[in-house]
Amino acid sequence: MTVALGYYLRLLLVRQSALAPVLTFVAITALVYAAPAGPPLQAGTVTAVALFPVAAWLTRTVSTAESAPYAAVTLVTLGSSTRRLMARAATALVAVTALAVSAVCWGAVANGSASYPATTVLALVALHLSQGVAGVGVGTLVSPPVAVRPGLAVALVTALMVLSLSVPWFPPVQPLMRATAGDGHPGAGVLLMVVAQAVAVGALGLLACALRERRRPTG
Amino acid sequence: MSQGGLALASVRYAFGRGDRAVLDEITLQVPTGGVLVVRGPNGSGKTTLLRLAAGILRPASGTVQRPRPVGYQPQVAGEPPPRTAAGSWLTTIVRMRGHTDGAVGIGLLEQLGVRPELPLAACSRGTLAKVLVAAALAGPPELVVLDEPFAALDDAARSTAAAMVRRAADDGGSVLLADHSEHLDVLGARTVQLRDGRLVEWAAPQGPPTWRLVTVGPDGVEQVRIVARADRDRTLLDVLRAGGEVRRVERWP
Repeated sequence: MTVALGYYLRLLLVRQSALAPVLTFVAITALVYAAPAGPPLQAGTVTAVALFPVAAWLTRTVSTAESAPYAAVTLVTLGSSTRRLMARAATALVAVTALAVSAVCWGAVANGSASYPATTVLALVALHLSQGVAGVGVGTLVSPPVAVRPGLAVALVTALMVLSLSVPWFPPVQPLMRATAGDGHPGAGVLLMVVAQAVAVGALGLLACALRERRRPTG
Repeated sequence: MSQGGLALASVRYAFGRGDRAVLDEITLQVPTGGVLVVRGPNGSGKTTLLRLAAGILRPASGTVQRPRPVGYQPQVAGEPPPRTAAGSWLTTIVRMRGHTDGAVGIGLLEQLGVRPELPLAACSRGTLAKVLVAAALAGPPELVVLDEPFAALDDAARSTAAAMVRRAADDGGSVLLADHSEHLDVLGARTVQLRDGRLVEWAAPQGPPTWRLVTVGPDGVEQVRIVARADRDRTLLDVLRAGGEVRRVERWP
């Protein structure tokens, strides 16, 4: 699995197709911290929410990094579609982790008026990562071997994003936005719940994809 | 797992629910050390059968038992990974298969005349085919599935690759391959044919093989002859000794 992870990470780098989602996220982060952004959790919520669709985009980028014949060779070599799914998801998660850490560091450096104690940094990393996990899970559902055209994939993730932004308590975005609304610092229990809901969305996405792979022809 | 090797039992496959079965009631075994060649016209389901055997597709019904790891060479070489040397890609594939020494496939590449440092993106179709064949055979895996491995190879590489396939089987692997070519004697393989989605034993064409020779005499006149296998080489030599040239040598009919 480690070899496969390294292989997909390398593909992600040499293909340069990951540049678009990465630069989009960097641009959003730069925009948020271009001026004093307010309390760390509230500012970080914006970049954490942005990481959800970006993670889905990165996951699709990883899954389309190989042409079909080479993807088939990798599948046969790894021995199962579940292993390939996990390798691709892990690759996207590595990229998401790098983006999450960079966004939190960016905030700590650029958001000068606010203080970033260790607990806040930890909470921010957890919130970013959980939104990223949700994005990876959703991304696997709109990526090969699931036959979804690029346009439809964008439409589906956007629709989910809009739903999650507008429907109360619709995970993964709404619970996070509600928890960090206002100037206060939500309790650890609330934040844990937010993280758990987002991780559950990601896990459900991965599980659904793995189950589909067990029932249907792969490729 | 059965006695080892690949075993398909009553396998049926259709591309969609309700579609006509591409493959029906396919039962075959490739024992350890065995080579099975699948023939059949284009569109007869050879690639589908191989993809089922390799685990890329799942049968609608029936069972597939395969040893692991599996080496697979696809028929169509799509766009290769960019900025990746042939040897580097092959080494990664071999390591993914669980080998600690990923370099075991480099020797195969070199035997096929491919420099390991050659970028995949710069490879011709034939060279990519060699890389894919070497990757499928490196190790060797317990099961090797090759989809028309010799189709894009030149004559020299074809016989080298055929010898490699035989060696993979001799080293304890099971080999399933689809092929159209006539030069598979070295494999010592059993041959089956796909017809209307079902497997039947391959019946070699009856009668002594004949060859069609297109030659040009010293006087510049083109001549077409149909000769028996036994007379082919002598006829060609006669033409060349007389100062003529050989335009084409092909199986006939």
